[in-house]
Amino acid sequence: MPDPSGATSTLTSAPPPPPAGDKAPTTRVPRRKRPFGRRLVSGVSSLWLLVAIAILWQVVATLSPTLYFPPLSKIFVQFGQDWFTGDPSSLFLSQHFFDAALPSLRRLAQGWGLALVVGIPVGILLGRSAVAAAMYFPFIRFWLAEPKSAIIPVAVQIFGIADSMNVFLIFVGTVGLIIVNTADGVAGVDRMTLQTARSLRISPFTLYRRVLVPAAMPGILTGVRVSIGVALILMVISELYATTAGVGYEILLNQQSFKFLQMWSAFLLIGVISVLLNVVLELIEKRVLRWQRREGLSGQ
Amino acid sequence: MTAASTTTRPRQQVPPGSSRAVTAAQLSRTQRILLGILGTGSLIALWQLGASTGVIPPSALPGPAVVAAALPGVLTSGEFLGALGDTLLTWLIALALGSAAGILIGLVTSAIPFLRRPSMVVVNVARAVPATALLPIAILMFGLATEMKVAIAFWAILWPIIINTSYGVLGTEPLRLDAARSMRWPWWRRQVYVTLPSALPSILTGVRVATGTALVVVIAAELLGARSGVGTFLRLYQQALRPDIVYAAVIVVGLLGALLYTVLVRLERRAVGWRASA
Repeated sequence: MPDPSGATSTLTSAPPPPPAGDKAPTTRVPRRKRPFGRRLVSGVSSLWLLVAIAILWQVVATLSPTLYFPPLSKIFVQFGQDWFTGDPSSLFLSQHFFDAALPSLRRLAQGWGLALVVGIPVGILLGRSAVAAAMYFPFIRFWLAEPKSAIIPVAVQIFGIADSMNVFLIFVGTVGLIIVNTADGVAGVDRMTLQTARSLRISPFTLYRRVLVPAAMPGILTGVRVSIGVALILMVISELYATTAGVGYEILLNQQSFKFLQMWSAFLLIGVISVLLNVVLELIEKRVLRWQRREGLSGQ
Repeated sequence: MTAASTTTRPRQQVPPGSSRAVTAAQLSRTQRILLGILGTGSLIALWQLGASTGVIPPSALPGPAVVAAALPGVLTSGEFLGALGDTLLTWLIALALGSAAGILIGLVTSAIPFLRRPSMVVVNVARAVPATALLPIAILMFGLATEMKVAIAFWAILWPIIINTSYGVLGTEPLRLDAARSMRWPWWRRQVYVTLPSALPSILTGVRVATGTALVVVIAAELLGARSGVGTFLRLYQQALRPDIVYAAVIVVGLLGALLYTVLVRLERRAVGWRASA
């Protein structure tokens, strides 16, 4: 995926570590987007390896059929049949999609949403108070180091095989990441900025709303972005371990009944969901952090 | 430093727990240790309160005293230690293989211009499906033995390590490369003596993040099928309705994870200590 913001010629998709701030004074000239044709060409040309691998898979799977790796073309056909045969009124999504994928997405939204609602305020608190941070960071660090998959038996112990088990697991698995990144962002706010705000005698509420939270936004969004990956992983594992509906359950069911095409189509669905979520988050991040790019601060 | 570096590279993997900025400077070391004990103690007290008032049912989460009583038994049981050893060995093998392959692929693909972006496209597609979702296929291909666990953990950590390696390589100071080129260093020599050292910090960050991921995935594989390991142990005792043993084991695993993480941070700091300013 070409990144329109990185205009430097060779590194379009991956902005290198030296922050853009270094060059800011000289490159203040408004960046022009490259012409559409050239962007199209470079976008297509960066896909050749992916296409080559796909063709290789197709050829090998057709020439020497194995049960586990069906040809890619059949997987795509199955994918369309499984998930996109519905009416236009339901965005072409099939009933099967609503039965299988919606429970997963609902649990993801509940668990991860709860983690955001709890984690961001707690993170702000810990970022503001060095004492609170010193008190609770040892435990949070232990919690981050805990392999989250080890908690699944515990979650089943507490909640039994129910939706709340998956929601709980996603919540406890992501809340630590959000807390730590938010706290980092808040603690990293430039001291001069805070002193300026104080000397202006702005109220605490305005301080948080106008100064602290915006300045800490890069850190907060980092937590949001990192945690969605973890949330997806936990969503799938918890469903593989114990549930009665969901994409992970779908995978398990198809594996156990040797329907490998359907299994691959479920893999593909998870991949598509994860890509979509990441794209949405990236767009939000770009929108929210626009001010930062414009001023060339780059979080310095 | 941590906060700034995580924000300037929006897509890079961020190591969890990089919270130095928070506690730096304001408090002395002893103060921090005392506060840490106080804070952790308050959480345990809360847990005890919940357990003894019956808010938390003992079948779901036994009180801290009960779990603490189960700890020595777990720590001395050959069954648990064997399982732990098995898990750690698997983890180590997967980490070594995954790092070696990931660093090599990352170096090669980002050193060759026409492979750079195409390979990143492939990496991003490949890592979109969480490794744990692929467990069923790994079980079909490799059975329930150690190979399966290694394979799935390898798959899980390969992509983040490739990504971090290429970030490191692409971040190489162009002036240094020009200097090397003007001394007519051959290509391989520029790679080994210029690119690799400048990419090292980023590579090590990738490996550190991967250690956590690998442990999660190995234990998940054990929970969901493998024949031996901590995950199997946990599943067994959960089904035998011994929550105290499950919790004790979970705590031990977490402490071990924290210990491994600390060791890695130390090693990393030693390895890239020359990078003084950042």
